[in-house]
Amino acid sequence: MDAGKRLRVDTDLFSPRALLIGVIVLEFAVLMGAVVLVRQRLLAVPDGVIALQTIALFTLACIILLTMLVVSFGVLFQSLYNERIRRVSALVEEQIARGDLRVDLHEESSDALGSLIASINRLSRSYFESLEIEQERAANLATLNLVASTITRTLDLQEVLNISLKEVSATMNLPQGAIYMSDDRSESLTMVSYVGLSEETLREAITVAMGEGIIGKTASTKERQTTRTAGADPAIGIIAPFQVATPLVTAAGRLLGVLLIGGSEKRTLTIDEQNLLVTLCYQIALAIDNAQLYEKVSQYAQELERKVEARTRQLNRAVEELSVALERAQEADRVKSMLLSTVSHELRTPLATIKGNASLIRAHHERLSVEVLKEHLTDIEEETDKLTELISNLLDMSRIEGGVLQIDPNPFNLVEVVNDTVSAARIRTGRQAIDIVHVDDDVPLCLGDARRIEQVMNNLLDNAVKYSEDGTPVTVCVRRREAMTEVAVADRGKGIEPEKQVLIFDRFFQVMQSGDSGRHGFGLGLSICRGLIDAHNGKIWLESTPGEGSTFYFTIPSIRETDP
Amino acid sequence: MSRTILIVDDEPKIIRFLNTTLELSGYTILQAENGMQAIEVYEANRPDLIILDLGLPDIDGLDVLKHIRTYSTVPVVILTARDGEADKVRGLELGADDYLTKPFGAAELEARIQAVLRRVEWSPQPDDLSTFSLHNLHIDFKRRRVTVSDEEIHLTPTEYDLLRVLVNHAGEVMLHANLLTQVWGEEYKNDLAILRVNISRLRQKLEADHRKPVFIVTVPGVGYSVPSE
Repeated sequence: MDAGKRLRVDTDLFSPRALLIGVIVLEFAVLMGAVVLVRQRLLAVPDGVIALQTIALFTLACIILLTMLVVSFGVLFQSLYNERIRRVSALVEEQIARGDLRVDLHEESSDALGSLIASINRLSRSYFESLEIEQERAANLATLNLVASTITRTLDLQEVLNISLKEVSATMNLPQGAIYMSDDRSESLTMVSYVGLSEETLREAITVAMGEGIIGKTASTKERQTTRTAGADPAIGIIAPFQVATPLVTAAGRLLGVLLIGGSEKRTLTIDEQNLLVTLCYQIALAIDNAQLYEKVSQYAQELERKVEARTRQLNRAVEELSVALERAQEADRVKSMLLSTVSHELRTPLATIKGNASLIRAHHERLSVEVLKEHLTDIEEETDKLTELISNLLDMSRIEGGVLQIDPNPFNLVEVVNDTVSAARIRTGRQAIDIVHVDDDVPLCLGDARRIEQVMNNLLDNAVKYSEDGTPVTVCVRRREAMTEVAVADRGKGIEPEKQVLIFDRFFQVMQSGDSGRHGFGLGLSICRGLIDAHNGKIWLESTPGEGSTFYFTIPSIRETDP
Repeated sequence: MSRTILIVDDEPKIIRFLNTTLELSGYTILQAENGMQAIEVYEANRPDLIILDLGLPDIDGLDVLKHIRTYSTVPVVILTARDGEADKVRGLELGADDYLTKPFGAAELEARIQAVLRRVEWSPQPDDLSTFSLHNLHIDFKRRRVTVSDEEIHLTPTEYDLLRVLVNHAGEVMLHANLLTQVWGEEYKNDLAILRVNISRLRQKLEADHRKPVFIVTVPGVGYSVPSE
């Protein structure tokens, strides 16, 4: 207790009591004077005879004086006592008024007041001792609450572990610490968080087996272990001279791990600290359990989300595939009906001419001049040729599609075929400006079906004439290309847009492009050309610049000189 | 005076054969190779009949028909390679008088043309009514004039002929085959599409609400009837 706060009861006399003391002294002096007077009287009487009356008066006077003396002493004593009580009260009240409830009165007397003061002192000390215990408990509770609220602030497991360890270390004032978590099979414990440990300690103490060392023992027994050693020995789980290992156990009794904290050899733990540590570890176990649960739930949720996403993706893919399939089916349906419409138109138009002319001639032949008759018969013939060509093309396409196109490969002179087809095209189309502008020297014989190559040439030449203005030239080149021979047919027509160049060899391209039932024919020609050139193991392609014209190339195999 | 026919087709060989065939039958022939030319030639010459191909190089034949029908009831025979029922109905709905699919014989074409022209040239028979009135519909057969609420209705020859046959048998049920034979001819007696399309067109022109007809009533599965009063 602070010496400055000790109070001393001052019992010194003050002037009001001086009068009372004076009275007592006076009374004593009068009494002594009376005794002296009576003695002188007795000595003065010769025969020693003292009147009875005198003796009685003297006695009475002594009695009165003694009584007055006693009373005066009593009043004085009472006054002094009251004064002591008043002083004690004033001091206590003054201390209460200052807010200091500690009382330590100094009183050495063994009278009732001294005893009372001693009792008050004891009561005060007892009160303050209880108060200190309560304060300590409240502080512990506040610490617990703070730690609990800190560690439950997050559901991130690693954060929970780190914060828990840090808080416990700070609260218990033990600077070293680690948390070990048990593995799924409870065979070993692994350090998952640490504080105040050196790298060396970490390396040695990172994993411990269940039951081994202080950590393993704490885990296997689920009981707190305290060790005090000369130094650290991380290999057996000793990280500090003084350390406490507390099991982290859930409410259901499942071991989660061990919390280890330690400090210098001078450190001990009070019962309260031990209890606080147990309570903290229980809170930490709860927080870890929650975080693990949350982690599991999160994992399940993520897994579920992944599954849902995967399923959604699958569904979307399926829907997309179905949509694509539907679009293809619709497109195929559209092409089919357009194709049917085109076939119908392409067949019916020449047939209408043939039937109409035939019925006309049958009904009215005698009324028609020979010239008119010839004209109508020519129409019938031409339309029949057109029908024949159309049917041949359809059959060729069908054979190419079915992979049953027959070609008869024989050595033939490609340059001759080119010459012949160019000459025929001039007559057939009426376009004179179809010229062979270049032929490499020594073009070898080629291996293939000359009739089919003629068909390809006719088609390319007809297209070149059809899609370029009258008067513009159509040119043909023949070149050697290693094991192949290349033919190029060029026009100066309007050319073909790049996006159409890749489609132009597709069958029915024309039908699908025009969207018109057969106004521009089937578009089978180039498709058949490709089929025929493919059948010769050759290649067919085009180069075209819109507005400048197109060049169609094809190659077919040459016969090498070493070939038989 | 010979009738003039406009042939609209982009196939020169078809035009040549039609030309020869129809000239031999006494018609005067005009030609057009595309839709715009067809409209120009029609407006300049006002022929008596148009033979119209649908697949023309510039605009579709149906558009040509639609355009001409905005101001003329000239008989139109469609001549096309499109043989779908939908194409045919569409052509008739737009006001074609007949629809002929390629290929066709010269005799068939001539018969069709004559049937259509006959409807135009039709003159009142002795037992025909001279006038007919039902509600706000009034027909003056002598003047080939049809009015609804005093407003003149322009009918194509085929529509007029169909209405005439129905009104001449007012109060009776006219069987499909009967109507087809009397209006189009024996070879059409099973062509229900051409009858339905023309009935529909008549109703659209005459009835206040063509979905609830009062002049031309359907007798389901049997035919049509015009009430006598």
